Amino acid sequence: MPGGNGIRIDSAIYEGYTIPPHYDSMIAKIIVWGANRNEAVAKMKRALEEFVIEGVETNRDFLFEIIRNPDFIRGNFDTSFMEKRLQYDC
Amino acid sequence: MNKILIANRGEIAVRIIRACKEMNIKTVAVYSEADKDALHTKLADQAICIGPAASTKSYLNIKNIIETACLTKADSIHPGFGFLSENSQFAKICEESNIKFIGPSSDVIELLGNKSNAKELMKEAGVPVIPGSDGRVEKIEDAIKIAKEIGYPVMLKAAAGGGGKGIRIANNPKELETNYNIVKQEAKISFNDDEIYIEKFVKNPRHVEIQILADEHGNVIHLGERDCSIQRNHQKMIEETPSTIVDDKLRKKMGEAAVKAAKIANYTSCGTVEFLVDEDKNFYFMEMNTRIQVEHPITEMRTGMDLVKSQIKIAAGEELKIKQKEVQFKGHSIECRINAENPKKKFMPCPRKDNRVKLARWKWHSN
Repeated sequence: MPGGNGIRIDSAIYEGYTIPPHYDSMIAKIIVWGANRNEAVAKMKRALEEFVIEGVETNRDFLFEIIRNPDFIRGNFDTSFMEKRLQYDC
Repeated sequence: MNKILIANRGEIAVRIIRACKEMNIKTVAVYSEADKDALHTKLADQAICIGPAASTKSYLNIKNIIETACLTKADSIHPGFGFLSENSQFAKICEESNIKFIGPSSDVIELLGNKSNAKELMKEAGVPVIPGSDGRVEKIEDAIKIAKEIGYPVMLKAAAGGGGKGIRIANNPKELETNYNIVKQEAKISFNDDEIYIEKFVKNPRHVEIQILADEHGNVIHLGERDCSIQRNHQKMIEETPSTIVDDKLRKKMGEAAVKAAKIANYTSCGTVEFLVDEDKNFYFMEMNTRIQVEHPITEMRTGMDLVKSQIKIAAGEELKIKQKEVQFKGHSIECRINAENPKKKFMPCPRKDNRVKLARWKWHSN
């Protein structure tokens, strides 16, 4: 699990926990704080790298792609961002 | 407030229990048979099973939850988000059972829960709204007439909708006719309410929402914006504050509009006013969420305030201690939502019976 200055994890999972299939699929929220946007983005990149979990597939790599996307970094996006730029079928 | 029952599960239940512990308030966790090993059951002072795995029989089971509150002598219920958090009937039953519902009153939830009524109210208050039908659309002929007036593309929406369900876009009268029937049917099935309305489709908008806090003494403040434009099928994935398109001037304008919205609705507790912002930075009221939200931590990081504690204090009748001009915004915060789903398989949710979580085991380099 990620940690360190400016990183907060809100989650209810723990080692050995079995995720029940009956509910929402969100298992954790990674929240970062930086003095400015560049620092916050850098912290989020690091936190996603450190978020290593086995036994269950997650959207971590997908989130990582977005955080690294030049348009996201420039702040150049709107609600159609996912559909348009990442070409996953929505 | 001495004892709070948390009518939820997962990380938000844990978040609320943690706030209660810091405030020296006792907690009651409720759980379904599938959640007997869940973290919230372990952290709370008491944990009571309220039914089988299916949420309709447990986390949505009003009768069992109220009975548990009475049995454990909980004086209030925190609904978290999702489940019963925006169910006005549940809030009303709490009120009638002398249990404090930690959120706005049942009347306010009902008023703002109907999207077309909420829009009407905001229009009256002078909060900018997206042009569209004033209230419900009764028949397809009316829909076509309104669409012609406001111009295509238009959006058809279920009045009781939410979470991305019951929304369709129409680019011309033909599509409007087809989608009109689809949305009506979807609304009936998903929300048991086939009331629909129509509004202009704002092209390439940003989703920017304003967090507000309102106490029971008429004080309302806003805590700035959250940009939630990174969404998939109307489900938010990444949120940040400040928004890269909101400057101090726009923040002040949107914040004032949100405070106005809360005041006209007689709103109390924490809440969120959602706006769409177009390419020319015009903003339009979309809806008001009458609960604590998933993305609330980024506002906490930027303002240094604890929203869950504030919500509990407001429910206990305390006055807001902080004035608008004392709210400080510092730095930048981002949230990513980690979901157990597979992006390569159309985001299919992944949890299966054999999914046991293993946290990182690092392999050390030998040099």
